[in-house]
Amino acid sequence: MKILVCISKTPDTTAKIAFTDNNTKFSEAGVQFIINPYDEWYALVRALELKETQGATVHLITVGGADTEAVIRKALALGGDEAFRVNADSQDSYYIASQIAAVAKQEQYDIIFTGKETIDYNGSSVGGMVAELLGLPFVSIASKLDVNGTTATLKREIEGGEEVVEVSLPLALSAQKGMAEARIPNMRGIMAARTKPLKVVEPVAVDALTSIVSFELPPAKAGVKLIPADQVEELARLLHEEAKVI
Amino acid sequence: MSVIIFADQFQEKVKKSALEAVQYGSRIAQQLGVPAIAVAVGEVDGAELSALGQYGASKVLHVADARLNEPESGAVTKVMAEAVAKENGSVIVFSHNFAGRSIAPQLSARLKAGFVAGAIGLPDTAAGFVVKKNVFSGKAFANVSITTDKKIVSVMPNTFSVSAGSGTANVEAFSAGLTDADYRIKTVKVETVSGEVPLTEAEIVVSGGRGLKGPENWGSWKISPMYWVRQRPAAVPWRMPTGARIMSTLARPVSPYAPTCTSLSVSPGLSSTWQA
Repeated sequence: MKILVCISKTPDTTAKIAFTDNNTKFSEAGVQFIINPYDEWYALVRALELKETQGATVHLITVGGADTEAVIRKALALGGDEAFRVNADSQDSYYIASQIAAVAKQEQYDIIFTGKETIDYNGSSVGGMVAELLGLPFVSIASKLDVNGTTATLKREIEGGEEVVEVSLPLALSAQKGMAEARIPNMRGIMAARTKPLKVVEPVAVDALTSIVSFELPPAKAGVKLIPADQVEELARLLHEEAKVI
Repeated sequence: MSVIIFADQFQEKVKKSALEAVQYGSRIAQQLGVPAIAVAVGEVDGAELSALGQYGASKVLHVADARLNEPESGAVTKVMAEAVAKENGSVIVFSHNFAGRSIAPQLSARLKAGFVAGAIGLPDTAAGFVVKKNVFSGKAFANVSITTDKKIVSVMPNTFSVSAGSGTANVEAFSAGLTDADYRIKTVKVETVSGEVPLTEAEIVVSGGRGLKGPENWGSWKISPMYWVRQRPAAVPWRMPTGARIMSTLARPVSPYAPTCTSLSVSPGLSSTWQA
């Protein structure tokens, strides 16, 4: 079985969010970057579990500049076999999906994993777009995946409950919490990652369909009024008369 | 030209999030001076579909195929693409719910239509088509321009209030030419929670604060029917049983931490049970 895991470089969850260039660009000053948590903890780890139990080969792919190679190496340290970096930078989901699809078309994967969304642009789009571009069925926000031969059984959340579906391989899916448990790379994996193949490919010619015109920060928060725990009636009065939410 | 809106359903009723999408889409249609047309799939009550006129839809295209009761994203992508072609759709609207997150990106790639996921405002059409959305997990906003002829927007649920006006929509049977080959994802089992209110359908969401810890302490709050959210760092929602009456005073928390309440709005019938 051949698996492709799409990973993305995102700011650490505790990063201070600020913008430069007249609020048109994210300021990377002092920001630590990580693998997008949904990609790493759920998509990649599940792929590695399939590698361990069913002998799958796990490839990784990122669309980004040379500054993404640190996160790629971490993903290889976790257990990925080989990585692709498409040498392009874009915030447009369709552009990114097109680059991934171009590589995937040549490699013929059985399963393509993405995370539910990236924690920076929250698009939740790349997985579905890759599936459409490759003509694959797509299961979104899956919390469980089992593979038996050429049939995949997935569980995903729907409004008001959960749904179990079956799909024949090949397929694409986006993974969310519940798919797997996060792992920490061990020293052996870190050492091995240095020599695993990381192929840099040039992007195919695709036009972006959207562009970010500007960013905004939310207004500064107003002061907080703390109510002692033994004054519930006062809390209720304030919620009713001041906040007017009850 | 027209605005095409996906109005998904749950147990034969149009979802609350879908009503928001219909109203949002109809407002875009008003901005552009074009009709708003809803698309529904699966078995849905006819009166429910006609009632979409109260939210601004002039027509509803209905694919009454029971296999789409649990929407197969590939099949629905085809339905939406056919609807766009039939009605010359220029803007396509989804709710950013589970169905929308699955279908909208696929449709975007099929139509090569720019897509903004999770819109929190109506598009600014003064100079192009610019939509505001949350980024960095809600720590900032981005204004995103869609530059293609066809545009897709998914609306963040619970961002816009829904108000029913008057009017009925004309319901039209629609065949998108679906074949067995379009149904590649087979639903094996659906487990729905009964007797409780799904988070996305809740009228009121109450956050109890970290001090209440878990369900064992919820008994001091007897509120019905609403969805209870325990405020943990991961903000994972919990459900609580419905049906209990409200106590004469608001609950006393069992911990030093005072509870917080968020996103409260009165649901029909609830005000009569409050006893301040």
